[in-house]
Amino acid sequence: MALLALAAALPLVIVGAFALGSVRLPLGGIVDVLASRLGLVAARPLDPTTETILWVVRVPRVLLAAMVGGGLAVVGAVLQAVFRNPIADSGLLGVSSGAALGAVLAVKLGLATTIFFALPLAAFAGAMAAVALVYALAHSLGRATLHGLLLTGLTISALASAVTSMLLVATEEYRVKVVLFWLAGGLDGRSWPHVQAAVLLILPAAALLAVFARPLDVLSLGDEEAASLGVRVHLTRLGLLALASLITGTATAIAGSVPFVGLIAPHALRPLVGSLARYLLPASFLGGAILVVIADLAARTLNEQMDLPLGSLTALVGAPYFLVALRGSERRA
Amino acid sequence: MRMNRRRGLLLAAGVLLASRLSAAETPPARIASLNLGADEILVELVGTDRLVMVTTFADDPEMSNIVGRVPPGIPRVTRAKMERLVELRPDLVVVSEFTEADFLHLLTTSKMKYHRVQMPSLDAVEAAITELGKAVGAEAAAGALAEEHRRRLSDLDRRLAGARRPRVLYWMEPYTAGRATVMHDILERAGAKNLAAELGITGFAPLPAERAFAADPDWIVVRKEGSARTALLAHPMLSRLAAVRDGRIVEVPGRYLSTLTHHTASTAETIARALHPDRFAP
Repeated sequence: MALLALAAALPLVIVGAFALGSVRLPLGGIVDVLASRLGLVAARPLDPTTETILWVVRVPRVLLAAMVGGGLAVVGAVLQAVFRNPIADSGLLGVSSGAALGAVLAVKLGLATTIFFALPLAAFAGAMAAVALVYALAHSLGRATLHGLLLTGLTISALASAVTSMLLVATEEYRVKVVLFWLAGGLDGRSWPHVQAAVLLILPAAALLAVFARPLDVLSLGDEEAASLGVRVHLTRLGLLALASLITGTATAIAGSVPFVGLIAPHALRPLVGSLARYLLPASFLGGAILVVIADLAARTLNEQMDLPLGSLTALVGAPYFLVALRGSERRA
Repeated sequence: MRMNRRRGLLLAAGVLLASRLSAAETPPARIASLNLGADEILVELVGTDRLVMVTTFADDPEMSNIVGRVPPGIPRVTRAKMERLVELRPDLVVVSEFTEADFLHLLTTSKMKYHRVQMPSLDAVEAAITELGKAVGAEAAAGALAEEHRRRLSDLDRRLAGARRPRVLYWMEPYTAGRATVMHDILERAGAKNLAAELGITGFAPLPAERAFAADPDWIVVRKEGSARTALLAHPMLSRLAAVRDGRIVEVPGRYLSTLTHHTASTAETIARALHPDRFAP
């Protein structure tokens, strides 16, 4: 029931986000543009300003918010099950820190200001390099334990953060601002090619994770139980983490840091849909998408002179929510 | 101030793509400026009638040389909001060399023309003014502004010819400006030796206080606003420098350090007058 409600709510929230923004657009114009672009009615003369704001700027941004939010929430749910840790999220395994390092390098070398898509590509490369390093190091002495993976992830994350800081202090202030805006998270300036990247990487990876729902549930019982039920523990975990890293790397490369989504959505939805992955993963995707679409709407409408940083908004909402949830669970315990 | 002028091949390619205008086009009637330096130059070149957007920094007296010159009715942005920009239907958007390529792509997709102002060195200021003048159809005004800037710097060269050059440290704790920065060029034109360059520093980089102390600068240049002077006087080590003890600190107004424009000549003049008062005797 909750899943159906979320599935019904997401399109409504998305359409609402199409309609609202820092510039008020006529409802008739919005309908005309969307209908025309979707081929539902014969194209008729459209107001070019409305068409550009809606189709070039707003629609790709809203769709990106949905995919980034959905992807990060699914990753949170998966990592919490894999690590059997309720506060595991997409920041593990060095993905975010690696992405930040890649982004800083792109800015420092001047690539971000001269080559289209260089910043997200560099961030994605940094994220994937960090994850590959974590896996390689964790597996260098045989099959890695969860504990070993976590600690290696934290170490690589700290290492990448240290290099990022060293690069930042030696970077001139105007370039540092570009990095800071990216680190604070946001979707301004993103366009359809970014949507294409998200469609190609986030959606299939999230769908594949959903396919792994049963093995994920079994894994969450413990390695020995999972093995006794016929799950190839090491291989399954590796596949799940690889897919989670792919989603996180892509989402971070596109939107910068958008924290707490992977914690809030699964936590809020578990009491409603239960902990079984076949329900929790799609529910988390829908919930995370709704959360980030609304957060991005706030980011682009609350301040007239600039977009507020999306990552800061999700943290402002997420941190208090998480503290309240934590206190609640402690009281129940 | 944009200090680093290291440029690679990719940036050179960017320069070639910088101006998306052809000379044959009609001058833009609606210009949106997305950086303070462009605000300042445009106000001189075209007034404010053709401006449809400027930065919020234009109203900040600690940063701007055009406070009070842009009517309040013209929208301000701290960072470009794409929807607002499209709504204003500018014929030309003026961006800086630090504007992200992904944002420029979105401008192009939204059918907006843009001009990128690039000033990698002091010598490039006049060319950048001239290029912006061409882009907005104000060639004569740009020529005059560039010529005035050139004349002021030439006047400095003439006045300071043969003067002894003190060793000067530009200090934005903990940063300094080494070789290949605009501040390096400014210090040289102001009749100084850039101490950071002597120390082998290239670009805008942190300088440990110990190295600054050991280098013993003759003069120190700081930003006037804020607490740079007070911080120097209170610094456990730098306060012992002869330059600090004797008050050989040049305080440059922030509005001369925030942008690289025709006002940059004022930066060099301010420093030169402090270092070489005898060369500016009435």
